[in-house]
Amino acid sequence: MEKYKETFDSLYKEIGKIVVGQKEVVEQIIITILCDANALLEGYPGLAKTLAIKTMAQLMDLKFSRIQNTPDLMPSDITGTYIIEETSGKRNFKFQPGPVFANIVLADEINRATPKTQSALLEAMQEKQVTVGNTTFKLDMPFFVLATQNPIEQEGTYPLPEAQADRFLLKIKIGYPSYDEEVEIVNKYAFELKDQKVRVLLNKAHLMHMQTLIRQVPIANDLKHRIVDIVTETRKMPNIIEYGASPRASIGLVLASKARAVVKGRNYVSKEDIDTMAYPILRHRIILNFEAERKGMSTDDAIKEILNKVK
Amino acid sequence: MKKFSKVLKEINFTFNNIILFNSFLNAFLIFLVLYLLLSFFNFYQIYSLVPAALYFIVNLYKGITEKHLITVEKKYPFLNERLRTARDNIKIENPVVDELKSDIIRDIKKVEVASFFNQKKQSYKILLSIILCFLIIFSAQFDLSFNFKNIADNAIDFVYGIGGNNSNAEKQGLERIAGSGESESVFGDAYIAQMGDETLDMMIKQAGYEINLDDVKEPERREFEELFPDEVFIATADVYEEKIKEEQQELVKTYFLKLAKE
Repeated sequence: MEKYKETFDSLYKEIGKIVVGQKEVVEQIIITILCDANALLEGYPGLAKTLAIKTMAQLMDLKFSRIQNTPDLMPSDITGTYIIEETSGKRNFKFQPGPVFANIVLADEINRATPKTQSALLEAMQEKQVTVGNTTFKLDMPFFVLATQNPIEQEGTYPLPEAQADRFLLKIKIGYPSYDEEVEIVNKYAFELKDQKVRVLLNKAHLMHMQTLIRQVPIANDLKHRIVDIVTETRKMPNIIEYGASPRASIGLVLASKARAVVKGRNYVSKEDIDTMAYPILRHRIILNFEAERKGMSTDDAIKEILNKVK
Repeated sequence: MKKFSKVLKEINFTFNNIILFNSFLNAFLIFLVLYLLLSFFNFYQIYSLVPAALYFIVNLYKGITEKHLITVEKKYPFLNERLRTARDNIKIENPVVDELKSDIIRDIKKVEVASFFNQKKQSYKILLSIILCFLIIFSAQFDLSFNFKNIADNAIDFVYGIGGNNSNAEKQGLERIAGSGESESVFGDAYIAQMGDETLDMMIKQAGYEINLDDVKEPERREFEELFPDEVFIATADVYEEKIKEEQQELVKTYFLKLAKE
């Protein structure tokens, strides 16, 4: 496990050349990738969401594509479509793959796309395949969708329904950098127009091997029970939670905890992994009731309460 | 991974031994303390076995069913969560689990059995048990006991004394408690003795055997009148006169007279 830890440390170091701070965000993106899952990133504009993901794709030698979601974006704009191609006087239909045919797809401001387009994207990320007309196209593996959401300017948006949000393993919250970090950002990008290059540290084969490895990480029975207790507790708190998390959250929390253990260089899952990963796993899976909202409670507050309750 | 199974067995074996020893020592201490107390109050000392045995059984059961791995993990934080994880995945074989088990086998060598055994505390307990043993021996040798029966008698007498008009008030405490009814029917009142025509009042002490030599006096000599009934007389048998020779008759007569006098 030590060599994996070294790899991840190098990864942080490389990404640190481009993205200042946001170590937790980078760690959670790596965890999502290791779990072969998808993540929803929520943060204000200008917090290097796109930059972080793009850099990650470079470091892992993965094909990266970006979809800027707008209300007029059509499903075919994502999946691709048949175009007429003329070769030696003959006209043929040829499939033109959309931006979804990549390894890392950044779906920027996913809540701005119409539900129809959102569904097309979510189907691709769930099934890892795209059906256009009568033909089904397998997506290149590994395949991850990292979607972003803007918590402000909710007018004219189509918020993801809970059932669709549940398909994202993590909801990663991106906060503002610290004062010193912001000074460093200014120094880095306000004076020179230099394109920073990063080294490739991982490749597809490595990544897929790690994905297999993650599932082999052992977890103690009492910790497994703790995970189930945390998730089921979300359904037992009607005083603050209207809808709790599904069993998919339990699976996700086990997987994410395992991935975090590997990232931290451990060959076993710790309680700390569970408690840390409970926030991004549960925050988009629980819906607070009016009473909790009236009190100004956030989902993270509710999760904290649950973690304190479950010993 | 048989090696790891051995490690787990060894941990359990060691802990069970420690728990067995601790339980025994504690139970022995309880036994000694209670034995000393009971012998001091003149109660059945054998009863001290009951709480000691109960403590031993309960403590042993609690100790054996306790999760020993958690105890090891708490004492050695570098094994925290690892031991439990490896134990729960003992049957699983994959590179990650195997690596975890190998790491534990390597790190478990740093674990010292003595760290789970409070030597100072156990030494004090052993010392205390030795002292208690000696105390029991000395108390038996010098008959150091708190006579609870006397206290009980006095207390009952005191209570009956306050009662005053009770018809049994003049009776002694334990006699009343033991119920002297049966013996009364056979021998009469315990405090009255009959000697010839005279009735003697006697004080029989049920408790306390001390005799004050100053109280012992010469026995009183009493004169008894010689009152023989009429039927009692001396007669000479004819048979002797016939057969005994004349010169020997005086000798025989003297013999019988001497006998009668005696």
